[in-house]
Amino acid sequence: MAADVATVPQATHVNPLSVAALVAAVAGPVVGVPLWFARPMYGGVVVLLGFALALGFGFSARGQIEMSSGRETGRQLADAAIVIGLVEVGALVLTALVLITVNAVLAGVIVTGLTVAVLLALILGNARLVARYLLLTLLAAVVLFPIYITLVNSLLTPEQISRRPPSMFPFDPQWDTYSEAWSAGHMATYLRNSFIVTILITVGQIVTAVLAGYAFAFLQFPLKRTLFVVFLSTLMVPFEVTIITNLQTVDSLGWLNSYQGLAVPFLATGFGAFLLRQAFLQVPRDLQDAAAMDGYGHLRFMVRVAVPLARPAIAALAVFGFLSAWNQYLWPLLVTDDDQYRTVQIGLKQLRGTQLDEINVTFAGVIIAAVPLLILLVFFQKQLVRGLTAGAVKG
Amino acid sequence: MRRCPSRLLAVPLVAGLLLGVVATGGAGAAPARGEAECPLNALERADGPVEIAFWHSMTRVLEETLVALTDQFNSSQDEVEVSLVNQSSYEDTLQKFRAGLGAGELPDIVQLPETGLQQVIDSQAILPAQACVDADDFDLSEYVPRVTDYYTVEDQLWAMPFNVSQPILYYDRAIFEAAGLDPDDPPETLDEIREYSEQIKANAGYPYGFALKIDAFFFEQLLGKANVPYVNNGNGREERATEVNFDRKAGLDIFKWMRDMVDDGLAVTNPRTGPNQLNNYLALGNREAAMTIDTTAGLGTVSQVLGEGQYAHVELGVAPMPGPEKGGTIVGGGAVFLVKESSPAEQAAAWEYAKFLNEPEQVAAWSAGTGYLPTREDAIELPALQERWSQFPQFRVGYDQLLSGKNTLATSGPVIGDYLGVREVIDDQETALLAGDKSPKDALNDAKREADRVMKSYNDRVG
Amino acid sequence: MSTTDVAVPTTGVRTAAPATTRPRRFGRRVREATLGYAMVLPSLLIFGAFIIYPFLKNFYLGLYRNPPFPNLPKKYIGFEQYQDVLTSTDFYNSVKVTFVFALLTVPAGIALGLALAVLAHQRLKGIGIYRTIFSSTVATSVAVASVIFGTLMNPLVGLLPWLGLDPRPPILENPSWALTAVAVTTIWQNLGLSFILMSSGLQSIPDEMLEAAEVDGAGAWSRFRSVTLPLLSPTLFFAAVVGTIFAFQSFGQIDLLTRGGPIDRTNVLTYFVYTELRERNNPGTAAVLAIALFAITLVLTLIQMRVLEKRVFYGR
Repeated sequence: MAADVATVPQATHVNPLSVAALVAAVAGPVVGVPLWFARPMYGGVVVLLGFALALGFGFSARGQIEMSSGRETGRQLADAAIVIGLVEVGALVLTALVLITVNAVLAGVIVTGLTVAVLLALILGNARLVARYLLLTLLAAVVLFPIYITLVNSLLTPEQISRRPPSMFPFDPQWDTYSEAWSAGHMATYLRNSFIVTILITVGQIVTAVLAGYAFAFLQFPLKRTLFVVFLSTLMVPFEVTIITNLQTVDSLGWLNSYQGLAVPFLATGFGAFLLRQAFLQVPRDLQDAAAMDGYGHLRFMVRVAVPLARPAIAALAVFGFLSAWNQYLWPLLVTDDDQYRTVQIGLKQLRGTQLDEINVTFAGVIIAAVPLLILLVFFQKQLVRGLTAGAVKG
Repeated sequence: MRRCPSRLLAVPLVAGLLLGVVATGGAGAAPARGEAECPLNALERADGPVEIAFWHSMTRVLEETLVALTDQFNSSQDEVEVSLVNQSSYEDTLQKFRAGLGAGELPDIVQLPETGLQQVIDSQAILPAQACVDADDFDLSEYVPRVTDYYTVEDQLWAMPFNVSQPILYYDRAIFEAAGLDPDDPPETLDEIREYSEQIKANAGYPYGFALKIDAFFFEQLLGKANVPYVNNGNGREERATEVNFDRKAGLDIFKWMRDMVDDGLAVTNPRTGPNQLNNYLALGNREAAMTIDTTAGLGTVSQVLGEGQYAHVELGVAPMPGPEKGGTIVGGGAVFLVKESSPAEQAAAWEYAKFLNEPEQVAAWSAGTGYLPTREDAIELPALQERWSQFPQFRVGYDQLLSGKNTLATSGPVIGDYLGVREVIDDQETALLAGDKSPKDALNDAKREADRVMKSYNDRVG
Repeated sequence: MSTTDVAVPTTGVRTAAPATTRPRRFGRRVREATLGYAMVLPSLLIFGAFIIYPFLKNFYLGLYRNPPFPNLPKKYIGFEQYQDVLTSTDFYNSVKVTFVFALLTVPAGIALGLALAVLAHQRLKGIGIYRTIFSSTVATSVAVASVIFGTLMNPLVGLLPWLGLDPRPPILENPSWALTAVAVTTIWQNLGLSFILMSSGLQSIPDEMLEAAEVDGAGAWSRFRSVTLPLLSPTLFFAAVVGTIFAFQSFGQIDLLTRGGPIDRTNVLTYFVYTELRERNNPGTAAVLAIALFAITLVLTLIQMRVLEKRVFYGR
């Protein structure tokens, strides 16, 4: 009780550095940007100073707060200042990139300013923390750069793309390239095909895996162990090893250039059956017994009880199946030669081959091909991570 | 088109196979051999128009011209109806044709590249054009002899010449002038290419003078110009070729010249396939080099692209391919083959269509529309071609070059089973040579050894 | 996991079942077995038709020499073809290239993924954003990555040549550099996956163990070496096995970037199989190569399991 009371008055004692940091973070752009338009030099200096102080004060405030073991507050303020400062750094890096093409001197000034600001933050603030963010940001930039430059190039004209020094920002975005890639480059058809085939495969894999997994987990039948070994041994055969005869088979079935030719060979996986068997084995036995009491048959038990309980495993399988089906390259290359049935991966190859004089359209095609999975990544990150960690078992 | 019913064999076999039983598919029977006959009168006996399919690889302007000619043929008579199937590239066409031989899905008439000649003969699926020429008393005397020679193997004409191309020199007249060179006096020998490149580099500020595409096609052409047969057994025309013949001074000189050009920073290279296959053209537009050698097949597109938009600074010039003048360049491009597997009526219909494409008027229209060389001398008198040539004299360069070369075994061009395999060997060795991995002598010897091996492996498979 | 033993009463019921129910129980067993087979059958059909049958048929196909055209008869030559293919310089080269490619991609991929994962494994504001960025290349397919890097490395429009990475001949046509270039593309494309695997491995390490080490006065590096790495070894082992299998199946990047060239320097086994099948129309030799590919992956996986597993720390 007493301790509680004792902390209350100190909660009002806000670390002054935090306040200063936040003020600097906000004031920098608020004052600096309008000034920039009138007097670029002064504006730039104000902005740089703003976030330099924001980072410097912010980090040192955090350092103080941590060292005083919680007796001071203002942590949120300091954090806010740091985040705003970091966003400003990002914006400035982008501006510098943009300016490389337009005004190299100004870009140089900004880059120098950034370096100074970061050094300042390193000296004033919690050096290790700043260094960590710096390293993380640098690595993130390296990882993202190929995608960023592709996005930029997709919005430039071929002439701008081959210009040196390269354009790092599309000032006059050419949105037409996307419509050209979409229709003339057949990306619309390719995407549709990829979706159809991927969904066929994903659904097929789930259904066959649920059935087989259930049988292996709950049912008794002769040769069960042998069959399970057969299922597992299919994992040891890389698909590349089977293409020779599979191509003949699909050809003799008349399935070249068809959705069934693209999908049927992948409708079942040993991995899926294995994953779901493991999941089903964790269904409590008493649930099964209770269900049996209620007169549930196996099918009803599977649909009503086992499958809902195995949802995480099914989600993982679905995501993994989706990803690997979407990314298939060799098989679609072998069994399709008609634009009507080409998938997006093979479509990219086509697009690149035929649009040599329109390289920006190729870049647009790349972005179009990457977007569905980026969306998947953003919205289903958890399932994706689980699916990948479980699923990498099978290539 | 003939279609075999699809064989639903795979799925029922599964059960047996699970027990480890391997299906033993028997070897298919060899197609009946025998003297090829051209069923000329089958067309008259047929009731209604005979529909035939023509597989081709023409794109853009070339395809438009072909469509126009075919429409003209279809509407000019009511016995034959031709439908065009665009297979987009020679490679794809040959691959599909090969696949079709197994599956029974074949066209009735097919356009294939010059490199496919021996393979198509070996496929035993082709009706030699000679059979129809003989049966129909078709007159070949107006043809440019080098063209018909190219498609003649063991005294039979195998295909009707269709799209003939030649290697030529592309150069930028504006840069020649800037470098103090006479744009009307382009280089004629390899040494002159070197001299000109030095000038361009020194005076026009370009990083290179010459854009060298690593493509065995030019090696073949240069040997033709040196009058050295590429392979043995009469360049593969008297008997199946078993060995390459380029491991001599002429070959070594070419390799040395290439190596020196690259070592001395005078030439920039690019490969024959992949995303950079057009870089030797683009080098002219991107101010990297002012000369390159490539086929006339690209002339239409190239003259469109270079000289417009971002490449507006290029002033495209075209000249005969430089090199030794002992022999001559070799016919490139493609021809149309008649398919023996089709029904007699379809074969006769295909011949009618091939004959139509080979009439002087159509030859002239085709050449004027595409930039391919006319195959007949009587076609060049026609107004369609005359007009075109007087307007764009560049399109005449290849034809004149073809006529000026000597007619020898070497210039009739090699016939090789795995032609593309041999080309790959040359490309690889040139790559190794120009990357500085190998001396010209080693590269040439390795090329010879590897090419012989590739040829043997193909011949074994046929044999 | 449920560790209940509620099942006891049912076992009691089972043993006490009267003899009269036997026919019914037999019938139920038959029904259950039928249902079991029916449920396994769809998968089994697919496996039989598209994995087992084609796998076994390779051995048969390898005995025949194929003519260049499928309409002509193939010829039985027995094991001569196995011998020819497996002793050829092309095969030797291809195996070498495949191994080098795996060596270039797998360790580097794991190391980079681990480095990013360690960096991102700290409590910082906004770390989630960095995590998403580091895993973002998971959303790129082989084709997307290859086209991006192919153009980045293009001597005319690419940025890498402009930045000075400009060997002659251009990097993708350069016998000494092409395989490295393909490897870099592959590493970037797999970085997201590697990061995700390593991150989830790190997350499964209990914080107390690290804290205990910290209390003992261990520095960051020695903590990493003596605590993190051993505890992460199952993940590393798993990533090594899977990565190697991936590497041995790489195809798309080769097809899009180098087509096996220059001078076969990037002609990995899968691409070799593909060209024999597609460009040379030679299922016989392709089958022999496929068997070799299978055998090598199998042996490698087994060796990896043996060797690496000994060093893996599974204790909890």
